[in-house]
This record gives sequence, C-alpha cells and structure tokens, in this order.
Amino acid sequence: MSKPNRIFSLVFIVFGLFMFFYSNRFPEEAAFWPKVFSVVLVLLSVGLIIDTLKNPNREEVKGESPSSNEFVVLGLIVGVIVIYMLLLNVVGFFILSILLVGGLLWYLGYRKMIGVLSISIATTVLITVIFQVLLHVPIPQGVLENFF
Amino acid sequence: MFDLWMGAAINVFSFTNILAIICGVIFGVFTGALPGLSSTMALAIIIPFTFTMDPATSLILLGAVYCASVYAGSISAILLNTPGTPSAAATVIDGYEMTKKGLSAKALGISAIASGFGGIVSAIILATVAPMLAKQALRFGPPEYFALAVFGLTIISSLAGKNPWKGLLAGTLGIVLATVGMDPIQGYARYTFNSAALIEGFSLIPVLIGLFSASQAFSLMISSKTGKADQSEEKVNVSGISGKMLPSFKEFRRLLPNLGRSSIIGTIIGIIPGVGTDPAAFIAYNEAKRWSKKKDEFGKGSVEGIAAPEASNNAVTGGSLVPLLTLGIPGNAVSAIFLGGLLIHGLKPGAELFEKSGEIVYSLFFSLFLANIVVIIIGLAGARVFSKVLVVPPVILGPIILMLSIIGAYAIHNNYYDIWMMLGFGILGYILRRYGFPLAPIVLALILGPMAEMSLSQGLIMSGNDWTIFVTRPIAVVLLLLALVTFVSPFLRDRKKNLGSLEKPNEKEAS
Repeated sequence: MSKPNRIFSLVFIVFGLFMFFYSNRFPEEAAFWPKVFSVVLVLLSVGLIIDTLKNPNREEVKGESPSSNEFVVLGLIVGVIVIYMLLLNVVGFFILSILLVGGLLWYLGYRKMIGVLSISIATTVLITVIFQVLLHVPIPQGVLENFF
Repeated sequence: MFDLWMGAAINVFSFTNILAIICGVIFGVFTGALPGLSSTMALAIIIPFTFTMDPATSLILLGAVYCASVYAGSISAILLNTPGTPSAAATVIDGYEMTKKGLSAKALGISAIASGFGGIVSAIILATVAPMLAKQALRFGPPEYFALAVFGLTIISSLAGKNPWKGLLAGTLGIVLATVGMDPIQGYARYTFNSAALIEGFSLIPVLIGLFSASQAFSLMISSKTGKADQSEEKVNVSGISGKMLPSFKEFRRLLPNLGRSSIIGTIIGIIPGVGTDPAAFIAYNEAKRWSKKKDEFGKGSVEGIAAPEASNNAVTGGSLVPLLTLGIPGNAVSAIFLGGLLIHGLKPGAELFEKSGEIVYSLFFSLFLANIVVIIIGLAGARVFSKVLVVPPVILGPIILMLSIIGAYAIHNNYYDIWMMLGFGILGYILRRYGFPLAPIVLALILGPMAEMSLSQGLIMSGNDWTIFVTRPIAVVLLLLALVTFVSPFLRDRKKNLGSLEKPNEKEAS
C-alpha cells in the first residue's frame, strides 16, 4: 500500500494547494473556511506519507491489492455509461437502458440469452413504470416520444 | 402527547403507509440478505422513490427498509457463512454453526425474533428520549451548534477503520468539497467556475447514490468480470432449512434477559455517533457470553450467540435516529442518508421538527414498532423464500444497481447534471474504497462541514468577532471537550495497539 498512498497524498496535496490559492479571489469571510481546510488536507497528506514510511505494514493486505486490469474494466464500464448518457436524449431511456443492461450482462460473462433479455427488459420496464407512471418523473423518451 | 400518538396511529394505519411498511420490509430483507449489498446502499437506492411521496410515508418507508436490511444480513450469515451486511458479522459465529448442525430454521427464527425485539426496544427508547432531547436543543444558539458540528466531525476519527490518516483525509476532503457553492453568510459563489450547476454546491442525494450505490455496482461488476469474488461458490441448500423455526415459550423466556440487555446495549451504541451496527453486535455478543450460564456453547451454535448480536444491531437503528432527528447529527452513513430523506422534503432536524411536524415524527416512531413486527412476521414466514434470493448470481446485480443509480440521481431534480455528478462520485468512491479510504467520513463531512462553517460565522457575528464565545458557554464547552475526547481516543487506542498488540476482533468495515 505504500506506493498508492504516496500517489493519493500527492493528488490531495495538489488539490489542496489549488483550492487554497484559488480561494484568494474570494472575499475574506468566504475564503476563511476553505483556506483552513485546504491547509489541513495538505498537512494530513504529508502525514500520510510520513506514516506510510514509518509503518509500511499498517494496512496488512486484505485480499488482493487492486490490479491495473480492474481499472481497465472500470474505464470500459464508465465509457459505456458516458456514451449512454450522450445518447439518452436522442434515443430515449427505454431502448438505451435495455441495451445497456443487456450489454453489460453479456460483457460480464452472463451468457444465458433468455436471462440477458428478460433481466434487461424487466429492469427497464419496471423502472419506467415506477418512475414515469407512478412517480411522474419525466424520463427522456427519445424516438419513442408520445408512444406511451 | 396522547393526541400526537393517536394521530400517528391513525396516520400509520392508512392503506398507503401499511403498504409502505410492507414494501419497505420486503425490499430491505432482499437487499440485506444479499452479500455485498449493505443497508447504506439499500437506503441510497430507495430515496429517489420517496421524493414524490408524502413526507410521513417516505420516512416510514425509509425506516422500514433500514430495520429490515439490518435484520436480513443475518440470513446469509446463518446460511452462507457470509454476513449479508457488515452488521451481521457477529451472527456468523454461531449462526453458521447451527446450520452445520441442521438447525438453520431455528437460527433464522431466533434471528428474526431477536431483531424485531431489538428494534422495538430501541423504538420505545427513541420515542421517549428524542422529544426530551429536542426540547434541550431549543437552548442551542450558533456557538452550541458549532460545537455540535465539530463534535460530529470528530466522529470521523473513529470511523476511520484501519488507517486513521485515511479516515481523516477522507473527512477533510468532504469538508473541502462541501465549500463548493455559495458561502453560507454572504452567498458568494465559491469554486463554481461560472457554472450554474455548481452554485448550490454538490447536491446530497446524487452524491450519496454515487458513493454508496454506483460505487458498489462498479465493484460488483468488476469482481464478476475479473473473476475475483465468486460468491456463488457456496450454493445454499434450500431444502436444508428444516425443523421448527419458532423457539418454545420456555426457550424464549430464557432468552429474555439476553434480549433485553443486548437491545439496550444496541440502542445506547446507536445514540453515540460514530460507532454503528457492527461493533454493537460484537459488544452484545461478548456481553451475552460473559453473562451466559452456558459459555462453552458460544461459537458452537449457541442460540444466545445469535439472539445477542441480532437484537443489538437492530436496536442501533432506533438509537441512531436520536441524534439525527433531534440535533441533525448523523452518526453513521445510513443515518446520513436518512437525513437526506428528511431534507428533500424540506424537513430540518431539531426542536422545530418536533414542534411543527410532530405528526410526521410520531408517525415515524409508531411505524418503527410496526415495521419491526412486520420484520418478525416476514422473517418467520418468508425465510424459505428469502433464502432462495441468495442463489441470485452476483453478476446480474451490478447492472441493475447501476440502472437504479442512474434513474435515482435523475429523478430528484429531473436533470442530467445530477447523473454526471452521481457518476463522478461513484468512480471516486470506488477508487477511494479500493485503496482503503472509508467513505462514511466524506458524507458526514459534506453534511457537517457547512453546518460548522455557518454556525461559526453566525457565532462570530453574534459576539462581534470574539472567539471566546465558543469557550464561555457551558453547553458549547462540554460539546467541544467531548469532541476532543472523541477525536483523540482512536489514536490512543491505536498507540496502545501498536505498543502492546492488544488485538480486537471487530475491525470496522466502513461501507
């Protein structure tokens, strides 16, 4: 855990410094609180670095440590969601969500075709019925506009 | 007083509210039973559904989900040797032993009864203590609220888990993130980068859904893709649930002192911010063992060893609502979400809530009794059905939870921006948790940070910039001293542990 801890500390230090200097443009009263806590953030990050050097075995590894493979999968999933979001207004919630749930199930290795279809359709139909019909949330309908 | 209770009873016994309790309990049992889905997540998912409901109904629903999900963690603890929620970790010890002996039905029965019992005791204590405490809160001015918020923030040091530095960092990150948006006194827009979306700051519900349900969806999906955690390895032998579920009256009577003690332990621990359900269960377990006449049965399938942690962890539910409803201090992540549920209906915790919305609060209290009775009934009648839930392959959960997170974030204000925010916090939550940063401190800080800043400024305005106002008023001083003790004690414990290797079994899983 010592390398990730150093990276996190550095990220937090950069973030803390940014928040600190950016707050210079605020009026004094509004800047006080964020200034104090950006400094605390930086100090704690330095503390984490020192602590990790002193007690490298503080966090005995429980299970496997994160692998890069894991973040590739995360990146792919997030990428798909971003595409989903961008198309949401055009294509509409109903069609896209069936595709998203079904696609993810397939990608994750669930290969029973009937299962994939029924889960993705059931989830989407249930969500649409509950949120759109019962709770009156204006779900983007896209190409199915005025269909329901 | 009597009028309030009558009104509450009439309100709760309406069709909608009874339906809310039953649906809430079923949903809570479902999510609680599945390993990997916590009570926190159950509430984060259900909150968007409550948005358009009547405030009382929505709180009743949240309360029912909370009680039921804490109870249901025991189902997989008993049948699978895996706690369904971290709070059921202590139940595994004797619960699974009973299953091995072929007594799973009885273990499930005891767990349902003990959970309901604990929940009811804590609801009674909540209903008596909270109104009194709320009256005291009337004497609070800005300096007291500042001290209170500081006290709440110091809880973070006890939520930290393995590495206290990481807990503190997570908390400070939360405070800093909470400064985005208008400052509490002048309304100056901070860190908004001229984006209208950031003027109000990060809105609580999408952040909560991101941190607790989307990040969980990512983690479920990633573990099924990379094939690391295969929870379906141990299939439940559903036909294996055999035998009588109900304990005999004699057995129940013998368990009563244990149940009573564990429920009170759980409630008190629930009231203390920052401790939470999992230590409550372990403490009650240890106490039950200490007081038991059959100590040697513990760990080998003792009925008392199931009753104690289950009564205790369910008693935390009522206890944790005490500081939340009266003072607005969430003691753990679940009550932080509960607070979100109050705020979306414009209800602010404190004396005002009890005075102006007394009917809503008492309906919630009353519904908690009922919800716990429903937990017992559904737990006893439906255990065989719910045990089938455990064979649901984890691979299908991830995409479904993700979908619910997306629609949930959108449903609050009907805008896309909230979905992006939810997604961002989901990724952040996943990465932070993967590297050992607890998430609960971030949420507590997001809530308490602005509260501390605002009461600090108001206090200073009140005193004409004289800082001594915070250390000359008795309640504020007591709270600040408490804060100091809370803040320092985990570090002292940590030191002691390093020096004398005093091992404690209950490492907290802050999820």
